[in-house]
Amino acid sequence: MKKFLLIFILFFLGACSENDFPSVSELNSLRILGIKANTPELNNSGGTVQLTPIIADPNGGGRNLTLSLTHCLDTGISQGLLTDCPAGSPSTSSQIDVASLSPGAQLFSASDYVGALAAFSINVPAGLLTGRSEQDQFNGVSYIVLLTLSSADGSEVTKAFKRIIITSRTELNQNPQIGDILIDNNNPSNFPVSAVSLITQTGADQAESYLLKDGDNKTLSRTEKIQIAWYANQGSLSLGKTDISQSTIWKPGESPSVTNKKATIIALLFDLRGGVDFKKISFDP
Amino acid sequence: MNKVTALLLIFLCQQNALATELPQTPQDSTQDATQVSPAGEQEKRWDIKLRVQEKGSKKRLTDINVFLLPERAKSTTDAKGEVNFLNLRSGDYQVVINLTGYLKYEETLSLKENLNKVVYLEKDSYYGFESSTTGQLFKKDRVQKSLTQKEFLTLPGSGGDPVKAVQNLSGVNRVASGNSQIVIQGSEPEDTAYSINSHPVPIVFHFGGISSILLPEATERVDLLSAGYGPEYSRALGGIVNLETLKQLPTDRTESLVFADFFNTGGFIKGPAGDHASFLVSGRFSYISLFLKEALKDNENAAFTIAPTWSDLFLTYQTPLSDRARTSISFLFSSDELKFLMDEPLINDPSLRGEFYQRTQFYRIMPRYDLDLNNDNKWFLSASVGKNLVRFNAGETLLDFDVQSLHIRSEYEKKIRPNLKTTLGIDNEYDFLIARVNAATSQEIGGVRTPFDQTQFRKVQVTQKAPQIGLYVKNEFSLEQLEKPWILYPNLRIDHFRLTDETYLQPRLSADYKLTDNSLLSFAWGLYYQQPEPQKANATFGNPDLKAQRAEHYTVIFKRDFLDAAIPLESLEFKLFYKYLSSLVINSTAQIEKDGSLIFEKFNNKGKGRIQGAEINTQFRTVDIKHRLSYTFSQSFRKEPEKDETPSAFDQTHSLTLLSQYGAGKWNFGSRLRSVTGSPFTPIVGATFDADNDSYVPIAGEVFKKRRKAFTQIDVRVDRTLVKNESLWTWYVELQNLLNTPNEESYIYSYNYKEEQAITGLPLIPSFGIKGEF
Repeated sequence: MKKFLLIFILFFLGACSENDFPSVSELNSLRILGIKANTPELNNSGGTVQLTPIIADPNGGGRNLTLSLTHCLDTGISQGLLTDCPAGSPSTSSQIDVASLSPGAQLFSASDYVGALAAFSINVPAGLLTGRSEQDQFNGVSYIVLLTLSSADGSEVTKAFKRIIITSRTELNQNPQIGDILIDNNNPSNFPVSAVSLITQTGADQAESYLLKDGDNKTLSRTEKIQIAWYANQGSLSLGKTDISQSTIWKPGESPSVTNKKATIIALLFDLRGGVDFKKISFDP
Repeated sequence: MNKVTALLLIFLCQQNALATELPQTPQDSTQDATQVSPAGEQEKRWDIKLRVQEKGSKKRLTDINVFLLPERAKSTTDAKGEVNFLNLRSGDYQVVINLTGYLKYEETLSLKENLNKVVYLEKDSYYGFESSTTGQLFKKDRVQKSLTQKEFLTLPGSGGDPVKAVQNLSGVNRVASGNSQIVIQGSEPEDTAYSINSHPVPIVFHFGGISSILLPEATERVDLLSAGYGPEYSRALGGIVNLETLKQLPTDRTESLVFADFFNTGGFIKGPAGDHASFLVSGRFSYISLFLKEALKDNENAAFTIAPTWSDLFLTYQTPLSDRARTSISFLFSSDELKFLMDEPLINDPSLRGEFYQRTQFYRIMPRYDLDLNNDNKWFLSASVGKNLVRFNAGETLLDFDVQSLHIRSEYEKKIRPNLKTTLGIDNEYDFLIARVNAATSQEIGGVRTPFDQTQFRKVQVTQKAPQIGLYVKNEFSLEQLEKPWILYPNLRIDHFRLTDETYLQPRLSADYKLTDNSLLSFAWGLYYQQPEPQKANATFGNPDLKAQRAEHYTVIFKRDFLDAAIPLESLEFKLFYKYLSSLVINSTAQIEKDGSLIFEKFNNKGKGRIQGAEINTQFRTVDIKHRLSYTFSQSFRKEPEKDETPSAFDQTHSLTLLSQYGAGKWNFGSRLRSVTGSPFTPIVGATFDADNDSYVPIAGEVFKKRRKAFTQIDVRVDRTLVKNESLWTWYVELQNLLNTPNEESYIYSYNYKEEQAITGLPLIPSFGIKGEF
């Protein structure tokens, strides 16, 4: 009876249903988890932006990866309407051998495949706001950077995009700062043997307030909504996404000393308008 | 003596078996009393006063014959259902009433003094289809299908609900379980308009499509108007669903009803209010929330603050002002509310998290004045004043609409000549909208919705006056006097939309050709306009330059009833329809120049479409089982510039519904078989990670290229009525989805859209209910 009622309400809500899908917080394939820009927003004069992809390749075994990137003014990519910069639009494409980004990289050793790549730069052209409406100029238009991360043998490919917001606002968005990951409210020391709560240390993660213009060019204020995404390459997390003050429960799997594999938890903090930061903890075998 | 009585009874039964014809032999009861009371007798004489009522409903039965034996006296009940036998000697008398549709009544009365007695006649059957053909009962509009209260209360598969019964009719598309909208002939859900007593209302179903917003027993009939509908209605490309509340309320007795079923409880009371006036109060309140709260008590991820709750209240007061004038005032309130807390965001849209709250409330006050100036001139004025409060919020996303609504409808009908009737009407709607919207943008391609883009979060507060003015002239011109079997309906409608600042002339022409006394051929053609949805015409979220959408309807209908023929087939209706749609509002990614600036167009009017199909409605009988078969063949396509034509979301090629019913006295057995072609859906061919919103944006494949599996479901229901003298109790047991068919309703996807899983409809569900009428 209870199951029926559950099905009933979930049908009503269209929210979710019982399924066997892999958890979003479970790291078991090549993924891009986030892309951090040193300046999430730019003014109309454009400029150079440094981008740092945060990735996971837990089963790669130290393989080479290739990063292809295309960047152009958004004409629907962010809305799922296009999958690439449209033909004929001013865009720039390039391809990067990931290994070349950080010779002797600390991340791509055989025991740790979760973390940030070394940064690379792109140039955002000036004058992208020219001819745009007052509302668009103030709220911003998106300059899209499309990334395709591929394994050398092509067996795994993952795609992501990042917006660089071009705006006439004088106060530009800044990346938020994530606090340290705490295990049961303490700094992590040893690999936990049972379920523990994870939370990030609060302090520097304050949401910014900013201004928006509506269709009548009236100015309205809004405060960012901060969200944390949690990932682990082993065990399971009760919540894959939390608010800043919300904890998630991690049930660890077998000890790294048994699996001979590093256990990593990574948390990414999003301000949901382009700003991102991350922290990770690892337990060596 | 007993032999004589028996012979007399046989004689009387034969006389009344088929109809209540007056026997020739007996005389009027007063005269009889004189005859059976020879003058000069000294013994005492007594009177018998009987009031004849229907058993259970207490309805007084008028104009029926009551026989008194052995006196061979007969009398006919008056307007109060009463009959008198006067001046009788003491002794035993037998009362006999033999009325078609009722069990024969016989009772022996021992008369020793004056006797007042209520006689209860019991119906011989409490169930069964109406014999009439839907759509021919009400000849206001040829394309209109109407279901009366008796029909929708007894039609299997709809639980007695009028709007759910409409979903069994041909031309009505199947929507997924839990969807509370009506889709007509392959149109879009937003192309259907809903009204009560011809005044618009925002919804017609409560939450999840479980029940309509008006108690079925307070509903006189439900109308479905599809392709080619007349000029009284407009502003809906697809069609209209209209509920008419009870017009004939009892003035001689009070009736009440209570019911309870799996989802809700409610009831009504109706009766006289003073000498000539009458009233009705009905209401309903859901309690499914108690079960749902219990069901989700241990759920870690979702907890109800307010479980889904709905309620409605309807009050009406009617009074005649004179023989020709009458007035009424009604009040309708409907409320749906739910609130719950999600600990974790939705997997495919992390922006939707935290507290979910949905509320749809509205009320209407509806006064009406009717005046029959004379037999050839009629006029009515009806208004609807009220408010809609619609609020949805999910986390920070907020849609908050407060609409003050005034709708005025008036008609003046004049019979200009014996063969020409003209009606002038107004249908004006004045809405004053105050909206607060805090939302990110999202796009939809072929039903594939992208997650909300929080980087494009917008806030707007809108105050909008958007009156819609409608005027129409309706004509009925019969050529029968010219010995031609034609009736022509040259109609015209004018609509002005303030939102888009447009005025449209909409000719709507129809004609009937009477083939025989039992068969009719009808034709209808018309133009229809519908203003864009306000959010799509909003400067922040849409395109303020949008114009009204247009449809052109063509319909041919053949109707034949076979009630006069001794064949199992009782009625047949065959309809062909075609709709050409243009200026449809579609998504646009184009950037356009406006006021010297480059902006995203977001929406434009460049969509087109066509819908074509055929419908068959028939009623027939096999042995004692009555059947109603509805079949629709339809194709529905849409076209965007520089793209191939695609099926629409409701392109359901075949739709078949077979309702069967067997009524035996107080038992009723019903079943519904429904089989519908699976709806098209757009496959998702990949996804790109949105590194700002921490979500995956699905990539839509070919629009509506794939289809879900065909839908098939069988429902069965058993009703049993218990009849007491002054009350009726009915209980039912219903098994929905008897075969437990796992019908695909939708799909859910893994976080990166690499895996999909079908959501199936409700499994086998037993439900029960009980209803008492007093």
